[in-house]
Amino acid sequence: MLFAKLLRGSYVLLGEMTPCCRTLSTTTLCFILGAFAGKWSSEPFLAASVEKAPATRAEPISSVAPLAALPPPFTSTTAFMEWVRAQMQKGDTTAAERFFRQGTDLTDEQRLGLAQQLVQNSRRMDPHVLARIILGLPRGQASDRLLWSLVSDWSTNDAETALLFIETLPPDRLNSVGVLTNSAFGLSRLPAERLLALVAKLDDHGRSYLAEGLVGFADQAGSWRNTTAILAKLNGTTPPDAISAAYMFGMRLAEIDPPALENMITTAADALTRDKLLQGYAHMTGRNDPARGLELDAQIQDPKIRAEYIEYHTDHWLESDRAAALAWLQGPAAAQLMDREERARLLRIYHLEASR
Amino acid sequence: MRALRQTLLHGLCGIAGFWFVSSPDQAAPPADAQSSFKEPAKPIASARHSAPPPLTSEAGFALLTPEDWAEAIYPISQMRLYELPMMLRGLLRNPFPDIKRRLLRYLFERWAVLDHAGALAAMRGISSPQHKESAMRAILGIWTKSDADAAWQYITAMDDDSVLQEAGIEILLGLNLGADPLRYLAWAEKLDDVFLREKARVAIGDSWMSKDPQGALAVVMTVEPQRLRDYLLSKLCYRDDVDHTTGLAAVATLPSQAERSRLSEEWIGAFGNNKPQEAFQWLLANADRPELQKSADTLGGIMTVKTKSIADLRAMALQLPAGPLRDAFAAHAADKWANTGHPLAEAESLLSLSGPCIERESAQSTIASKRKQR
Repeated sequence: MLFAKLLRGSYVLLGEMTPCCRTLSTTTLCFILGAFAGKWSSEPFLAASVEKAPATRAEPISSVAPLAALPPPFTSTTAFMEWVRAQMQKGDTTAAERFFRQGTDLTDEQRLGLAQQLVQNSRRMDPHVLARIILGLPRGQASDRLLWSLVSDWSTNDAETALLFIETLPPDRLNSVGVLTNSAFGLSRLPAERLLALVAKLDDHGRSYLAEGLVGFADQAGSWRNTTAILAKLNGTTPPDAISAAYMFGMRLAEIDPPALENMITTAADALTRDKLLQGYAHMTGRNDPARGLELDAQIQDPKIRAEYIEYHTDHWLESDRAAALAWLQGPAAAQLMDREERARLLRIYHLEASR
Repeated sequence: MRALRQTLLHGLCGIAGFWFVSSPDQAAPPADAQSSFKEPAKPIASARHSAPPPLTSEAGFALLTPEDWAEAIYPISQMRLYELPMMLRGLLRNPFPDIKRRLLRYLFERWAVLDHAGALAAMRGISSPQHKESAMRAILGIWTKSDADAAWQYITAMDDDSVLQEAGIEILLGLNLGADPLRYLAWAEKLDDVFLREKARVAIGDSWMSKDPQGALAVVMTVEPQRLRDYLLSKLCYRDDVDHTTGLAAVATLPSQAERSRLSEEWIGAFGNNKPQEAFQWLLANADRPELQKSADTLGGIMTVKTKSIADLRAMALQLPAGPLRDAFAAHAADKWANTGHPLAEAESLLSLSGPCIERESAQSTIASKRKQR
């Protein structure tokens, strides 16, 4: 009825039309029905084309979930990797995870070995899938290392989605040097306010580890302007087992701009910060120039660190310029600075006696 | 006959109607195509179908895997402007960071060719910093071919995103150096931010070394600032076709023994891995120089891998004059020999060629530890 109205401007029954008009009307109807069919058949493409930007919390995509192949029984790591690769070629990106879930007869060692293989091939893996596999492993040093490697790679390649994952880690895994220092290289590229949302979830250890990592990569990633905006909110007590950001700052500037660092050390108001800057400066300088490093070591206030660095730089000097190092060891500066027994031990190795 | 004609006529009309709406050529681009990818997401599952979507559709891009991503390269190069935002949306939903990085390059190269300003706007709308950087790298690669100065102005005026700006500076320094590698050095040295200055130096050095390693080596000792000279000296040894003996000769002219020691070790390491016998002969010819003690140590370790016979290793050690160089060479070789599963007696026989020193102490400790394990 409506069709007839469109054609003629009024309601006319088809049976009352002339043959010519009827043919015109029915062919037009066929055209419109065809158009509806065409529209309906192209709906999937058009529906997909109006999807918007990525979800804030990305979920892994199983492209062939209904067709997923059953994992074979475990025979070897090589066979497992071949099966995963074959499934990936078919578009099945979660095959490895399914293998772990359904392989109830796998031992912990086998699970760990398979996960290590997958992490080594992480470029060909969906990091969400890898993350679930790693978090499903028994806790231990080896599985922790896999997690650190994952977050390091993931945040380097896509800090935004890596951060969404890192934020979901339980506190004991989140506040670890392996997670936070390793991921700082990638995370330093995120806007300060985004990273500060993570900072709010960290304890003193976590904040120190993150600060250490951010400063450690200051000349390689992100920008110092962005990093300082984050560091300004990271101030807090550095736990004894954490490397302070001031120490890392001293390490970085020792190579890049020693005069600026020396000025900073001289003018530092806080004695602890001054000593940490100096420790970083001495440590890095002594690796390149042991004699100069030892001069700086002598100024370190913390007696334990001072002794450690003097021993480290003396050993390094003996390995790179024995004659000069032995001359120093026999001299008064070493006698004053070094632990007496350690100095005597080193000299005995070379069949020498201490001069005093 | 008339009935048949009528049937055919109506069938043809139906087909024409079908074709009219389903032909891609007739599907007009969405009016908001360039900006809509920034909008909030719908769950991806809502658009999934049992049959895989076409590879070069938004949904198809989201489902590309490491096995088939390369098939999208050519279609991207043929895409029309209105298709690119859809493909970008799909690509950004893909879970593989490596695929995103690779295809963002092709997608934004195409976008920059078709609509430079639109490409820049789209790039700024990406939220992931690394993906934004990949997109910018592609755009700058195209832009600098036509107007490098404008590209520089765009980057240096970008005050609202210091991370992207610094990445842009590094990219431009890597792209633009051309025949004059030090063209931007004066600019970089005036930067107040010490870390950005360091990044700029490294970018200049890397670009120079990748384009003209021989030329860089020829003038390295005259390069100012010293920081860039040292950077070049520490990295040039790893470049193909660089003459290691020329580099070692340059290092030997450095004023400080500590610098000579550190950089000689770097060069002999690269030389030894590349041409072990020639590196050893070079060390023999320079064995009177005490700053090569650490170099001898490094070469001892390398020769353990390159020389399969303990007799050959012993013969090499004995060719070095008695003293710090031989001690370091023999001790490191013995340490590594023990550490790589060889008989401990062989490692000890090698170590016996080393005089008393801390390197020997360290190797003895390794051998003792291995003995306990076996």
